[in-house]
Amino acid sequence: MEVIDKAVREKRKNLTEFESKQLLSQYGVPVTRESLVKNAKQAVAFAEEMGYPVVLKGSGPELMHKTELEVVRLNLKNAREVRQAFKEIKARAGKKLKGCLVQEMVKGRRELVAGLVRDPQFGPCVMFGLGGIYTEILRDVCFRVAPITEEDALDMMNEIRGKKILDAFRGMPPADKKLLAQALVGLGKLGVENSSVKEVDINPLLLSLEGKPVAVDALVILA
Amino acid sequence: MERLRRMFYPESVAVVGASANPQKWGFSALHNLLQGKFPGKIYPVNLSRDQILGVPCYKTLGEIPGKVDLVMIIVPPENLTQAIDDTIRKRAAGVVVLTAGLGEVSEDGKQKEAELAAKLGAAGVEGLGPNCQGIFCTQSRLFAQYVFLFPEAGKISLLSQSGNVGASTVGSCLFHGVGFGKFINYGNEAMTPVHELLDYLTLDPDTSVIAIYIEGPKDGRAFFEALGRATVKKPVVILKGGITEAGSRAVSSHTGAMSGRNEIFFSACEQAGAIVTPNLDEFFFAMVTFAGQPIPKSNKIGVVTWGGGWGVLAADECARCGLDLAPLPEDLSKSLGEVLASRWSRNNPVDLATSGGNRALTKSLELVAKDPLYAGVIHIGIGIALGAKAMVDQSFFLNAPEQAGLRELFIKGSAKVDEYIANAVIRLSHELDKPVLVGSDLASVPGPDNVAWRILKQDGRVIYPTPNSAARAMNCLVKYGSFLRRKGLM
Repeated sequence: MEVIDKAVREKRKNLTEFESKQLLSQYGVPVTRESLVKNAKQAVAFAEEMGYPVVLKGSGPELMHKTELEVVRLNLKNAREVRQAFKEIKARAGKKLKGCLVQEMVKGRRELVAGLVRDPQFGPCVMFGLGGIYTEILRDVCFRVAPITEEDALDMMNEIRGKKILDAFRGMPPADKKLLAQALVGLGKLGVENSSVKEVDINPLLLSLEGKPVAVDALVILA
Repeated sequence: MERLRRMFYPESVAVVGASANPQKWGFSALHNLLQGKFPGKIYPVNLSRDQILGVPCYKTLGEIPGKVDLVMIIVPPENLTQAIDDTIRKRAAGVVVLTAGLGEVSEDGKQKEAELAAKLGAAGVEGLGPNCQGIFCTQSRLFAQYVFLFPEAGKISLLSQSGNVGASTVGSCLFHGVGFGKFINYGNEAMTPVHELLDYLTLDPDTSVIAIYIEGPKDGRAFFEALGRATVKKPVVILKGGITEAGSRAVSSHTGAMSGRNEIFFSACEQAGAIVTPNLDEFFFAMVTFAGQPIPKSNKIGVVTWGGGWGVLAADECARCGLDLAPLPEDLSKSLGEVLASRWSRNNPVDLATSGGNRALTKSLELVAKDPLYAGVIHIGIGIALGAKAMVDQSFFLNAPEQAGLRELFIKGSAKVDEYIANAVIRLSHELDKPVLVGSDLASVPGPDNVAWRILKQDGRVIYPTPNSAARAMNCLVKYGSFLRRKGLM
């Protein structure tokens, strides 16, 4: 995979969010529509093309923990807000800023987590569970040794304690399990085919208002 | 595989480090080969003795005139290299190293194990241990072990990283009268890896249930793949040791294994179709259940109970496990009403409310078992003979001399009931090819007065001590059945 080879050549420990999503998307994981821009003008142009609201995220190999560094601005509704956000992010990130990610703002309240870990005994394993802050609080996740089948993926959705989150709930439609299974199978394939990928963390994998999973944030860590 | 087969069905066994001192492992090893009536040649190797227990000794392995298939080594760690070199020169199929004090105690020990393993590997000799209690194979009457256990031949084979956990499992089988196949204690897993031993048991025609006690596989991926090859042929039951941080620390000093990330270990086992059990009790009941019961075709289970509370507990446990206590079909309910007293539950669990003698007890079981809706039945309340005996033994009234007739009636009559039910359980289970599990606190303990146990064990069945343990054992069968159906094998 080209994005991986490039990062390995540059001796980097991880892919940027943009690169991570490019890689994931090649393996069938639905990701947010987004573009990497150099300046506020380009940011506005892409936002206009895609439609508001958008998300702006500072990008650069040293900007790993974007929320903590306060280089993320959500729900920007017009060109003025995008320009303002770009200015603020630039001020916060300084020289670490290599560009900005302009991203569609996915609406949805159900946060899942999906990923890949490389276990010292079992090799690549797919992970799935409750996302966002609940990943750490409830630790409601499950694993399968990769590669996995669609049936394994459906099993995983059934295995977590909070599996009801995938059903129709308070006016929200049921999750698109087929699409979700395809993403988990793809993650397993990614792990088997790329030995230099040590870990993948998609958190949150958001369920949109239509119940479709979308990788809103993603990080690929290299071995 | 052929080498492992030769190891478990050897024509000759040498005991390097055989001892005349009954307090030493080198004595027990030789003693147990004799005690187990091994039919092949036995060669004790000892520098200073002419014979031990009447068997002529050899000074070295090399001196033994004929071929040697299996070598047991019980020498101090410093003499181990020599013993391994001699084994290789003798072209044995395999070696069991009982010697302890290597990888489980130090890094140097780990290094030494690895060197010996490399030598054996290059020479094409299988190796178990070090730090183990040995192996047995009831089919070949080979008891090459330190522990004093000699079960009858049976279908269950156990791969155990721990000697004493293995021994207590085999001991439970002996206690309950269930046969055993092979016992393989592989200790530090320095030589032949657990996944190759598992592959051997998968292909072994004398094994139909595989049980594994493991603290951590050396090569998890290979173990996972071997599990996948095994479960499509026969059920595999697993107990993992070292699942807490305290347990993991104990593991590293016990067998030196890495116990790893447990959530991944458990997921991998279940993904491969193995049945994971949480403790030694359930591990034991799961393996004997697989050995003695057919696999159910769905998760719909009928419960028949002599008393209400037992039924409630069984229902709770079934529900917790995900078993379906499907309501009684109307025609079944009607037929049951014809044989039971009017106070019966009219529900699944079928609570007899202590009604009925032989006919009500066996007929109700038969009606539920025969209904095509249910893939398996749990029956609770056998062991009436033991209850009657306890009553008769304690009662001031029944112990009076003039009540001899009544005493006799109670004891004989209740024994008859147990006999009826036990025979009905066996007959129905075979005839319908459905699992019928029997639970009873009283009758779960084997003994000469235990009529139900005596009959059921002839058919390889045990009696579960609680409604919960019966339900959980049933769940193991159901889980495996659903795995086989998913694979298109059932």
